[in-house]
Amino acid sequence: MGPHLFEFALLFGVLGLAAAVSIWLRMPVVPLYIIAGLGIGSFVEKNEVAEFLGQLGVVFLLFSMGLEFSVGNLRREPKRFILPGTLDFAINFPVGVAAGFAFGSSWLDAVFLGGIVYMTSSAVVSQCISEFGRATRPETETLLAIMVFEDLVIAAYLVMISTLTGAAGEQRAVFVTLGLIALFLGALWLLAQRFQRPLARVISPGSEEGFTLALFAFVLLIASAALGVGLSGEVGAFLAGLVIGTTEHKERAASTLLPYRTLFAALFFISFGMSLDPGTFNEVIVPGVVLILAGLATKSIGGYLAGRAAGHPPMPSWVLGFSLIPKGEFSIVIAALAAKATGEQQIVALTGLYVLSLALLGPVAMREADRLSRWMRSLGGSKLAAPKGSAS
Amino acid sequence: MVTREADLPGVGTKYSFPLTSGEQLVAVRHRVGHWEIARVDDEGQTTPLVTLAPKEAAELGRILSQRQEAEADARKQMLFEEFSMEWVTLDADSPLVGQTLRDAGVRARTGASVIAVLRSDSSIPSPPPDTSFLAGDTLVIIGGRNQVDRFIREYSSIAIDT
Repeated sequence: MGPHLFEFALLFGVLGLAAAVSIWLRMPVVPLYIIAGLGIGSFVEKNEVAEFLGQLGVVFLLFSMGLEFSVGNLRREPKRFILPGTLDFAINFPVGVAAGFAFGSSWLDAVFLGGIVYMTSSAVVSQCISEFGRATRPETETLLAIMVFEDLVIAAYLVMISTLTGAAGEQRAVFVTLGLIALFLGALWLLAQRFQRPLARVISPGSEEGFTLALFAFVLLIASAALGVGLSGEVGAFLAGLVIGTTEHKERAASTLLPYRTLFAALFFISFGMSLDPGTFNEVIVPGVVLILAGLATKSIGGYLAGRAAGHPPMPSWVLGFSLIPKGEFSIVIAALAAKATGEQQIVALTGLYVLSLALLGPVAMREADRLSRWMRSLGGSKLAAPKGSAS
Repeated sequence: MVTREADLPGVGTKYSFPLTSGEQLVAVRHRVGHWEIARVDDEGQTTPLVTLAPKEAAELGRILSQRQEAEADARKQMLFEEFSMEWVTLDADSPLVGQTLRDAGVRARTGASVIAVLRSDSSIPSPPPDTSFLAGDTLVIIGGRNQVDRFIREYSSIAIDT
């Protein structure tokens, strides 16, 4: 432990510095964490402990995302998110898959790329909304509705790719994995429903420590159980979050985790940065740049069309499109699953370049969205036909 | 006026209502507690008005609702003047001491009702008819002004004014 102490001091020092710089730059902190990781990764030996902390980070990040996932009052207004969400998916996911085929990847890699290109980073976008004072804008409601739709898709997608790959690396029959997932979810649900009362009695309302520690133990237990049955720990944590989110413990678990979430997200993004090797970017520079340009274009246009479909005027619709650019946690998780499944490191380098670029460009695009959308309009953006049936 | 409430998942809650100018007033309460207030025209163009820390928002809310509260208080005050509520402590020589509520016929004699009995170590809310009184009990009584005055004349010389 001794020699690691200094490395950790350095790690947290750098994280703190990144957070300070982000305030100074008025930028979300996520891309800075990744860059910081990239920086210290090149001269600090990556050790098991840091890697483990990063894993812990992703497990809790995905758990809290599952936990906070809520369709909320969108259930009452389904057309506010189903049409825009579907447009966003239908325009972006196939582009990633097509790019995969164009680069000569296997169909499995192409499906992975589809997900990597499609998933917007909730962590970056919600921070940008607060940072740039966008919360009161009408198009922000549609933006967040699209993010909820993406979360729904990612839940299904993660289950699907676990099925395709068996996640543990070995080839399994598809139905065995599907059955496992069904069993796992069923067991989790039963646990959450049947043991709510006994659990609540054990964790007396007065004891914050008891609740916090029990929650941590629960999340790690479920993640390791998921690993044990051949699913990935990340998927297990996400599913656990979804299930706990349906119980009465949701609010308390979310508020207990909130301060730790910052820490876990920081660890996750910095360890992603540390895992990147800028040397490998050269090998993927061509597909990388193509993917970045495709991501910029399809996310903006898809978002514009989604905004028009939801009834927003052209300018706010462009703003919405530019707000969908940031990429982050989900793309990274998918890339990690892909690398585990196919044994190829190329997809990690490609995703690294893609996520790093769009995590940086996304917030800039979002901050300059008003200027950019005026520019798009004078460029003849109005020629882009609004989808049929859109009201403005 | 209808206020629309919408979740902003991961951000907070949004409240909006139409202004007479045709614009919308939008207030967003962020998950971390601060408020952002803006107006939005029908083109979807948003003009940020103010951002408030939780305490500042509470103060603004207090100022804006103060007038209505004052009116409501005045109405309550008016109704309150028609009846009276007193805390009455029984001396050792009070005719009530040693009697039960039923035997004393408090209600029939004075018109006032005993709604609680406070003792040093316990209290009896809505005392049943067989409650017997001890010296030193404090009774909470309620009734019309005359009824309460009569009660005090009959049973006690000490009234603790509220």
